[in-house]
Amino acid sequence: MPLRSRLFAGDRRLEACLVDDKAHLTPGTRGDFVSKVHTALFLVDGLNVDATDLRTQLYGPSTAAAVLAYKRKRHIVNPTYQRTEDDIVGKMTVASLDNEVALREAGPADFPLPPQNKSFV
Amino acid sequence: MAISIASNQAVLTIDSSGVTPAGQVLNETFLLGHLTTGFSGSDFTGDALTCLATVPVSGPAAEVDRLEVGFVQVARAVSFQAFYGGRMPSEGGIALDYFIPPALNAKVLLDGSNSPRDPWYRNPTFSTARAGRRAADFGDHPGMVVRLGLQNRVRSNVRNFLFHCFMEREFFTIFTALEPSGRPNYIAHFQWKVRYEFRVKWRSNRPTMLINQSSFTLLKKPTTGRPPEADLQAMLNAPAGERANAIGKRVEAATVTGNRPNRSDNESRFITVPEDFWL
Repeated sequence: MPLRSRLFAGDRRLEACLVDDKAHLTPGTRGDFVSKVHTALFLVDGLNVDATDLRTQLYGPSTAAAVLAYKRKRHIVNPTYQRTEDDIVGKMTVASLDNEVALREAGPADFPLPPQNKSFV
Repeated sequence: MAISIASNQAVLTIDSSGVTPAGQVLNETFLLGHLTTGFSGSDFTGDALTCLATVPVSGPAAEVDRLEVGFVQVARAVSFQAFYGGRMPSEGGIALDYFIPPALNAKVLLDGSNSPRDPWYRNPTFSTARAGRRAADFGDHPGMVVRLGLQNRVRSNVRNFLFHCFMEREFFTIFTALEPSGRPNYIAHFQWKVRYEFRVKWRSNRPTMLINQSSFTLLKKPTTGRPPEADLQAMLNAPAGERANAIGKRVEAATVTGNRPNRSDNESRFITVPEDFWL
């Protein structure tokens, strides 16, 4: 089943990541698809990466830390070969991010009410 | 004998000393612009610009006693826009334009504070100055509320951040007598303008730098009679109806939750986003 969120769907690199171990995203990777992961981490968990990673579309140390935090929160591990979470975006992680982003895209926007004691016009 | 109001002898004393537009971040959710003479950190309601006015009034005591004297204020909505950007260009941008239809259909609005009776800005309190003069006082603290973040609808609802906003309004403050017949007699007026303009820079997901480019300007000194501007005449002829504050709250909601032309969500960031706006 292909990726379904508007953010990820149709991205060849991320679609490949979903089905191919060799296409996993690892530290040092760079590209548009890394920016999409940055957006997804920020969207679903408010996880920020540093400005250098954002600007250069780099899977740098802060991106790796954010991925690890995301995976730890959900305990995303492949029990066939690991016991603890790692900082790589593999099949399970990209699928999880895609699912959560799709839910966010379908949800209502958050509009808090402005303070009532303030003159506006 | 009818009431006689010596409009040419009206005296309006405006105190705009120290009046300045300031900005304040509230709960990291809203940017508040407010006119102040010394912001204390929590008081958004104290008057900044004030005026004391007197005018000689004569006539039958019973009629003079029933004469109400106070201020009418008309606001002209000039412009109000806010611009948001994603952390990076691919997270898009949002533009809000509040003071255009369908969010706002009439730019001339009757202003008021504390739910006054028509047509008053505030309900007048009966007061008599010396030598048969009637007196009234006025004070205002116009404000602005802008959201610091919005979710970009065409970029997966990712949060975009406010980087620039401005709101400009003009005010016509009119010393007025309301005769027992209910007809307003516009004695004298003055005109002023507030332009809020802020640029915001974000550090570690927080609005830490607020660049204030706002201004307060007294456009016209006290002048006898009603304002002559053509677009104000219909309102001055029948000064009643919903007040600017109530309309403004509806405009805010209609713009933020609305669509083009009031709100536009874009896939790319605006080219006006500074390089260092989000670090």
